[in-house]
Amino acid sequence: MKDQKNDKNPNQRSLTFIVNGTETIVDPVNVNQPLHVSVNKALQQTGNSGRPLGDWQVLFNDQPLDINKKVEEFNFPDNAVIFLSLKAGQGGHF
Amino acid sequence: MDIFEESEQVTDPEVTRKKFEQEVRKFRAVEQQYRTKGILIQNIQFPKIQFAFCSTKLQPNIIGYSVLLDFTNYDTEPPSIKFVNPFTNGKLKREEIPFAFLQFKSPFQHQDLIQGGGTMDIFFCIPGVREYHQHPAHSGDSWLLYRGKGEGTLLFILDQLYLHSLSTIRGFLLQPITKMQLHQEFIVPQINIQITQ
Repeated sequence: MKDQKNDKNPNQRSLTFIVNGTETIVDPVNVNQPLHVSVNKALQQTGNSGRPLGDWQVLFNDQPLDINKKVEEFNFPDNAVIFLSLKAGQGGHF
Repeated sequence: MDIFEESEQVTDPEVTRKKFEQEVRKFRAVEQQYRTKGILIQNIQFPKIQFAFCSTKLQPNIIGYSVLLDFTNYDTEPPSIKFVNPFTNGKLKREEIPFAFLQFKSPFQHQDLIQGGGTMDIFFCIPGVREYHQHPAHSGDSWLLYRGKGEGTLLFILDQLYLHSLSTIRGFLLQPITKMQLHQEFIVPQINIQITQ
């Protein structure tokens, strides 16, 4: 019997996102594709595709991510949770 | 004098209650993720919900502040945010919150998003917050431009408070204070503790 783990495509993985508080898993994710591909899928899956990608900030461990980089470049751990939060409108000025 | 008025419930209370419960349910689904960031729920009593914001990056951990969100009239109006003492629930003054709520407009220009003070209550100055839209300077930036688009939801507000305060914390800065106290036998060593961001 084949080991199922060995059947997994090494170029694919899953990523967990929390989009404005709603958790969603994008699976499969091609690790050679830019992160924005997965981000767009996460937005679609959570019904948040109505706003341009530029309205969102993509954060892992509170650090903003360059979504044009390939997924594999980030070396996300298996339990990584990527947060997508709306950027706050300009405030603090009267 | 305070320019911010308490809202009256003019929306059907059942509608507001259902939307409030929906917001709480969404938060409950990801509560553990927010707990690890230091955002702890303190009290829920419709139409209000209180959270404590704690820094988990600092040792010892500290409770920076609490917020009381008031969903009265939601979502005809956005929620109100009051900064309160996590233990006594008294309103906080700006100097009692040990963080800058930084919004970077450019790499060289940033703005503190906590505004008000003096005779006015402090408030979190971004679209999606009732006090922002009530402020006379923002009369041209109506809540109706944002309603239903993501701003003003419970998790949006928690994210924005967190991202502009706790997430920017780097550590403690300890500064010994040497005060020569004349005519006293002992000099008590004092340390000034600041939070660096």
